[in-house]
Amino acid sequence: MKLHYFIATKFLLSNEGVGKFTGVISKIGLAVGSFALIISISVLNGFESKVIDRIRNFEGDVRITGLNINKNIDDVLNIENIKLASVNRERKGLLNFNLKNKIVVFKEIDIATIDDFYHFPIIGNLPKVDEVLIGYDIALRLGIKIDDEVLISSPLDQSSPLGFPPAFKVIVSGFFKSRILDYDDNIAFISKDIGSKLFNHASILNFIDLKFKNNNVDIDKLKNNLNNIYTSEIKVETWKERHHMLAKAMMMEKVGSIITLSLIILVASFNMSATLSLLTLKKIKDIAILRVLGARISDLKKILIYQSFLIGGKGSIVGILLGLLLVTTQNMFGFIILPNEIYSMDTLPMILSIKDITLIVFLCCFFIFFPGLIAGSKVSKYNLMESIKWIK
Amino acid sequence: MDKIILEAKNVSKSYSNGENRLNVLNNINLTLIEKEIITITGQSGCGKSTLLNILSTLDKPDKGEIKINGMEIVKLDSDEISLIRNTYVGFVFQFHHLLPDFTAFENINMPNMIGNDDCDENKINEFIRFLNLDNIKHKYPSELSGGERQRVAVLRAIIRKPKILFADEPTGNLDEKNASLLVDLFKEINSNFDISIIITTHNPDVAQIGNRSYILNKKKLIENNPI
Repeated sequence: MKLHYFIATKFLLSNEGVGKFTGVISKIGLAVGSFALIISISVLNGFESKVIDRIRNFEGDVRITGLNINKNIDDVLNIENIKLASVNRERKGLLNFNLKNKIVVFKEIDIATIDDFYHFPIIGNLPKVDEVLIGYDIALRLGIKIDDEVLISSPLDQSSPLGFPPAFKVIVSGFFKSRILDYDDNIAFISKDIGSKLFNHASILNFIDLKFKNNNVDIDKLKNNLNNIYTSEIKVETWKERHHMLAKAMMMEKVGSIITLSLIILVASFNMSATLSLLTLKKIKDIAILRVLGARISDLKKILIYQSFLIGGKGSIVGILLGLLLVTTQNMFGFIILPNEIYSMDTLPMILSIKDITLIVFLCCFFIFFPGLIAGSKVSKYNLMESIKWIK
Repeated sequence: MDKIILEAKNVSKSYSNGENRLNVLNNINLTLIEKEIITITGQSGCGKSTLLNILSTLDKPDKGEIKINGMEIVKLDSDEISLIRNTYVGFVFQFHHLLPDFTAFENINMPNMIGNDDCDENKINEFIRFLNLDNIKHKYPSELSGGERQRVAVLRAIIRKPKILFADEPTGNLDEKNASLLVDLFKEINSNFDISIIITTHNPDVAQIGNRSYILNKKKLIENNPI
């Protein structure tokens, strides 16, 4: 290593302008590419984290469905790492205001736990037992204001032999603005009191939303524990499994972004390949002398790979450090501000994990390594005697 | 019995010249004994350098066998050849061929670094003093005189105490005084370090230092003054 690094640095230091311009361009390309990757991944992570937080604050970490018996919720709460559990029921129904109807999903929840379990922006107040909390977009669509009286009914449940569905007038306590998928246009929270009057069909089953104390929950272990409590076949789904298309879309967005921005580094890598070819051509005689002195082809390849890293490494390090600096300062001071009405957040979220940094470093190393390897392979094909006689 | 350090049998070499092939060497046989100096003379273009390059592993013959220290080198792979170049043979060319980006000391130490040997600075300094190069060891080749460059090149060639030193027209670029100094140096190297030497030259004074002298003529190697 000492030999290869020593020769690589000496060869680069002696470089009298040959490949200097392309070298600088390569460094800039790698710096821009690695910087863009850091920023792009951190922003995507930031938005992804916000989306996940919102979903978890609306639905919890895990949903248990397929329950056919009512068990004491304390058994579930005793499972390791379970922070909160909310037993709910859902049913499609009609919401009527001023002769305007809208099909919504009535979500029956325990009003006493609503403040602990659900965290999303609310205009107005949390509902009391005889009130309803509706999505902001439903209110906009039907022109509902806080404290307005709306008629709710469940056509799927028939309360009388004549087929009239159960219907009640309830007061709207407020609106929620979750900004998750189409929830604000579809969901209305009702109390268990209202639910028990509205849902009188026997087939409506409970489901339980669970919230974890931390993210280190072994889902398989949790499923086993729940199966021991509920002896029947139940379905346990994480938020990711319930919204697999969304999770997939976020992942694809990240992969697409990485591939697209890697192209910048790839172009810089081609540039670096040209730089190394020029440098190699200039040093062809010196390389031949090294072979005369006993250097192996693998030694020459290593020297060129070191040269590649000495050129490209500088650019990548600068880009990565600048990216990290921007992410850190944004997280400390939040100087990049977002319009709250569009994104419902004040500052640009940026999150970067060690795994992401490792991935970016790996990508940079990958694209730096290959120009060195290509130049090294070319060197191995030079004729030794012709190279010694080479005149610049 | 004297140990044979290099043995070449029926070595032939030709080059392609358009549609024709130009024979340069034809069934050359040569044996070099330990601690021996052989000089090879001949007209310009007769193939002296080609022969030296083939004997020293820098080029491959079209046919024939070459053994260095008992090892058949023609069939060796690239890494094995590199090891032989680094361990058993040293080269001095007409032009010094020093690495311009490295100081005299670094040039001298380069074969050790390639051989992955720890730099024994005392040992190198001993060699440097032996060749009176003490005051120039931190200078770059461009700062040295022709004679100094060639002496540094010689020192680089013998720093790992090879079995054979190949010198191709080593005095070709030197004035009379420096050429004479270099000839003396070869003699000293041969006697002090037991290194066998093969020299190709035009210079009659240099040709005289050989225990055996050969002339390369009409693709054949003819012994000039059989002992």
